[in-house]
Amino acid sequence: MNMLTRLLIAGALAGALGTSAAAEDTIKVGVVQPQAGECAQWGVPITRGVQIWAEEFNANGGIADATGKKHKIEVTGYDNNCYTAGDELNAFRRAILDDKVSFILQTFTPASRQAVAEITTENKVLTTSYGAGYLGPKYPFLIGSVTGSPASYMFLVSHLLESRPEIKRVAIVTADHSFGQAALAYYKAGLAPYLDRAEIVYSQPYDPASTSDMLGLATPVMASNPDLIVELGFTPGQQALFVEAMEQLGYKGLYGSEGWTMGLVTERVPAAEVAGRIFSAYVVDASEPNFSPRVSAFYKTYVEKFGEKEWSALASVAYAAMTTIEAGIQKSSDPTGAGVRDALFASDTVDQPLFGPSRWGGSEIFGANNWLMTPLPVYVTDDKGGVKVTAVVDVAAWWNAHKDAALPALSEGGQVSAK
Amino acid sequence: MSAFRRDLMTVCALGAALVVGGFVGSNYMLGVLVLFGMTSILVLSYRTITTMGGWSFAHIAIMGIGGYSVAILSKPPFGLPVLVATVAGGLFAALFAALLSYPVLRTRQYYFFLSTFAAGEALRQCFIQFREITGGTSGIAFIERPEILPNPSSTLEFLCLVAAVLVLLGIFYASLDASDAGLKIKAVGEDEALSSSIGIDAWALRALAFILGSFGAGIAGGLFATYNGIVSPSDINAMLMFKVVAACVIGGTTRFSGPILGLLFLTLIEEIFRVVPEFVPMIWGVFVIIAILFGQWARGRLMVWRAKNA
Repeated sequence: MNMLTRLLIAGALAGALGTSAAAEDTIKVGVVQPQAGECAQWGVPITRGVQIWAEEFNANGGIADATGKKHKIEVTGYDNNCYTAGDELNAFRRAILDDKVSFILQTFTPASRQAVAEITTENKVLTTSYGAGYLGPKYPFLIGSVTGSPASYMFLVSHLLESRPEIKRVAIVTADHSFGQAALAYYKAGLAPYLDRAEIVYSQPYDPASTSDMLGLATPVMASNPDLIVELGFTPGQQALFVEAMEQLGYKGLYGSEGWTMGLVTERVPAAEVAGRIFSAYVVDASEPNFSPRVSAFYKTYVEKFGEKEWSALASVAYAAMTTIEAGIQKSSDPTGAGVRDALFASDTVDQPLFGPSRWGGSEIFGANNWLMTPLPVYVTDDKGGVKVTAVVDVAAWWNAHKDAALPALSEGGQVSAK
Repeated sequence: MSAFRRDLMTVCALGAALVVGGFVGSNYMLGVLVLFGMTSILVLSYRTITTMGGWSFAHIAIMGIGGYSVAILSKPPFGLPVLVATVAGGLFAALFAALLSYPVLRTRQYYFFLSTFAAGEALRQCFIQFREITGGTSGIAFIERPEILPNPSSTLEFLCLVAAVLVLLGIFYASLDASDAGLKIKAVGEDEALSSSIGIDAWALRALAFILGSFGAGIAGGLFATYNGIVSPSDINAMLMFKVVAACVIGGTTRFSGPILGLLFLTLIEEIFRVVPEFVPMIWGVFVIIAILFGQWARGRLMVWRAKNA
């Protein structure tokens, strides 16, 4: 064997060993979201949010576990064909079986969560979402790491009813698909404690294919004469079209949704006209500068990287969801799915990096306390198209006070899986 | 070698390749092979329909009948064994196709495409609207794997089952292709007026192809449901329909192996470009256009060559 051959073999071996060592130190995270088509309006900002979260740590050598050892974070996006349950499962198979990821961020859509419940549990891959959607006692690796969809709809509408007694008539505009159905049930649950003084005047789900005729969709909503319209299911662009259509029809009431892409809304309706009328309750909206310095810094990074027009609060939602995983990694000496889960569930509360101490809950709905009930900021738009925090809902307290009224509505909407 | 023997060898080789691939491949490769095997059933059954001269766009919706049949019949109060429910799903799909054939097979060309598209969409809406039975948009989850497997959670064993079903259905469709009825179906597909003029019952033969092709779609739907553990209306989507049609366009439907090779090509594209999934539909689309243009060019050249050598 000549010198050159030996050098090549030695180099190859060293390279292989180096790669192996690096692979062991790397924490692999998958983001299963729509990466193409119309639904990418949701999926791409979510994926970017997780990527920026990882880059923040990687820039400082990685995330330190409980022993102080640093791990680089590698993020890969997987397409789920616009939240199709079968494609969600296929994406999980790729992520888990081929790419060996340890953590996955996915949609809250109940059907999609049910589709992957078995594979995540079998392979001990800690799978979280920006909310709960579906959890179960048989699936300990399926968790909801923040208060988000769909529970946030319940807390948003209840907060608006509590803080604005003048609201008497509520229209619920949701799409007729799995997460639209979940939203409808949670909106109804949020309204349930207040039905003695407010009524639901519209709750007919719409076919997602009908959104090409927004005026046709808005007209019956307007005819129900609501004081508050809560929606879920429109893409950001469709939301803007809906607001425009309602304004054209003369609507002067309030709007509520998980979130709004105000850049798109204000392209169609002057910001001053809707100031103080559009409410949202994303997990956290980083474009608001006062709630958390850390998420504000995240917003600046996002805007520098992708531009302000590309901003969607969904990016900060994904970022926030990953901070719970981050807390688990930092508390664990074994940053695998199983090790991080053990660290997170070592006690009833988690010191969540953005929201502070938060309790695990959800057993009345899911039969398992696998949902971290973080406080929920509620945002309202200002006259410049920005948002400001109008309240922070103590989610655990509201749930304890009103769960007896809310649970039947959730059950009727098929959202209660607890036996 | 006769076309029948060649077709038999194609399906047997495909079944064997799936099993061998399952034994030597990684866990992830197992999943890819299972999906490939189930989609192969879809494209083979779809090819049977195309032989009668019509390209149905209800195939995936009809596949859904098989999926929902397994989901409903394998759970209480019915509690049928999953494989029995899968066969029942195939029969229900065939029954639906028989009912559907009465109106849609009276249409031709674009009208056939449109009427099957409308029928498929109506069926999908039924899966959404009859939510007490079908679970609405959320579908039905936690469907068990076939109890007949020694270890139902083993993907390798499930792959062997898929390969066996694929070979059985492949032999069935190859036999149909080579039979008197199959030859007449092809004749109707090539020239319906001429076939009718010599006493062939064109409508009955077209219906037969549609019903038997739909039976395979129902079986595939049942396998998809039990493999994924869930069936929902969102799984009955245009992308899967496009994949089946594209496999037939790229591979051609003249030979039995054509759609399988087309599907193999699409699957390879899907896996090679998996890191950029947003580009996969575009790449598929480009190859479909190339296949259509090249097919026309090749047919033209062949006709010229035949004319010169006649």
